[in-house]
Amino acid sequence: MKIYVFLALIFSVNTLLAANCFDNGAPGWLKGSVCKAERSFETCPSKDAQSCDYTLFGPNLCVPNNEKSVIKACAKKSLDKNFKRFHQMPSYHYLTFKSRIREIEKLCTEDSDQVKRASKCHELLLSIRELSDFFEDHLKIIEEDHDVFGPRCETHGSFPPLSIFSFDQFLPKTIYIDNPYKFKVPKIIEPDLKTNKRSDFCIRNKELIDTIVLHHTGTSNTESLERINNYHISLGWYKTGYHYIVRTSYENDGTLNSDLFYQTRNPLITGAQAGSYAYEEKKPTKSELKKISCYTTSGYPKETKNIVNSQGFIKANSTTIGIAVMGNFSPIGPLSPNGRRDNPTGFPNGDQRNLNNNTVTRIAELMCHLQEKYPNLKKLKKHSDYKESSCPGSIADSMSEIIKKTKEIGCDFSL
Amino acid sequence: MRFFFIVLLSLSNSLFAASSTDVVNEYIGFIENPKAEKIDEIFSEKFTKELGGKDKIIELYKSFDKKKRSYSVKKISELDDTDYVQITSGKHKSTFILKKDKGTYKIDGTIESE
Repeated sequence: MKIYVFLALIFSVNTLLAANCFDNGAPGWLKGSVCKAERSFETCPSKDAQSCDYTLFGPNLCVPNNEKSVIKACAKKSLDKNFKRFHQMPSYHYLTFKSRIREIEKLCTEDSDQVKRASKCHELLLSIRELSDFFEDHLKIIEEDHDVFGPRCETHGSFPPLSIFSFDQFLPKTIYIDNPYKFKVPKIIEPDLKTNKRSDFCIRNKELIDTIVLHHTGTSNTESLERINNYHISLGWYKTGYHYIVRTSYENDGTLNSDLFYQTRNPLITGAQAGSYAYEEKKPTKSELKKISCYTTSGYPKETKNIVNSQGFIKANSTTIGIAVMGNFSPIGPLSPNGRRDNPTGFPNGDQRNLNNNTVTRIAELMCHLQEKYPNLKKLKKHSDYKESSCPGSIADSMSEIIKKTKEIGCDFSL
Repeated sequence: MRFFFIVLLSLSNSLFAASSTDVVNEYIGFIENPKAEKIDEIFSEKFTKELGGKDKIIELYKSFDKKKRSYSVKKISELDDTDYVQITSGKHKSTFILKKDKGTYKIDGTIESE
């Protein structure tokens, strides 16, 4: 079944590309829609076409959905207002959809690397679903505004269902989203790390993500991302288990000038941050379980199993995002007085190695940024909450401070 | 004859070359009795530098609690020229990166396990 869905996506993408609708001179995200509307105009019922000054898709144009339901929003003013929302407010984030489509086309049809094809295509597929959700929300706003700003049609047809396939015609070239928060959006680097060609992987919908799990990497704070990735691949994992790695200096140690954030695994791909045998005390519904799908390395759907345990509790890795701070925040010593593990890159007995204040703020900013993307993300935990471990060392002592900081800068997490 | 010679040579190499777990066992001995001359056998040059040099390493390990304890050593995975070896002592575990350097393994860093 999923393979058909996948093929249908490729087909719809190709169709969209073939239409070459995005460069017709219309402003912003209207471009594609105008073109689509023009192409459909001949079949638009004349009565509805005449009664509309403007439709959602351009002057005097209607798009027939089917004979019974015709889209006729007639909301130029509200549309203008929303253009302002998208284009004139301070924007911090944009997605170039056309380039994403091209990426999909390239990766899904040309790339001979099966792992890359499987993982990236599905990451992109999920991105499109995210866009779909976003637009669904914003079209509702347009619909509401329409009542205030008119003019309106005699009959106000409902919008067509915005499933991933019917949605293509509404997709914008660029989306701008206003940042309502006070926090700075961290610059996140996506290193090109290799993936494990023998490992399956699972993709989840963003609604399932509700918790951040903090780690330290247990390495030197100047360790390379590739070596961490290699280790995790050697364990049989798909790639680095954490979704994000923060490279930073320890407190009172300014050897690294600034904090760097790396996205080492797409957050929509289930991570390996909580342990294979860690489960949340939460029973997912059947529909929630459908929001996880697993694939072989060659991109074929695979049976999704072991997502819940015998009691019906969901695997913690399925609902969490892993953030690791590079470094070793545990004390040195084979059996140190506080019982933490031995590690020659740890700090000597009696000393303390902490997160610096700047990193506390940067992590809080990253968390707020992630909460905006994943609205159910509201909890912060540490690795040792899931299994017996010294990880994340003294970072555990900074967690309350991180929570406090998230509240200060405009989002909301709890321990 | 030549074939047997090659087999014998490779066997002797594998017999005499220290495996990654051997090196970690050496490290355990070093924890108990840190000696500067052992450092080059156990730690890679890179890792010695990272730890602050030989003197610093000796100083660090001398500060350990010398209580007698038992350890178990287990290779948990490998990738290319690198082995990952875990030491367990009671409830405590630590994973080491051991990289092959001129035919022998040396501790080249530590890394968190899951």
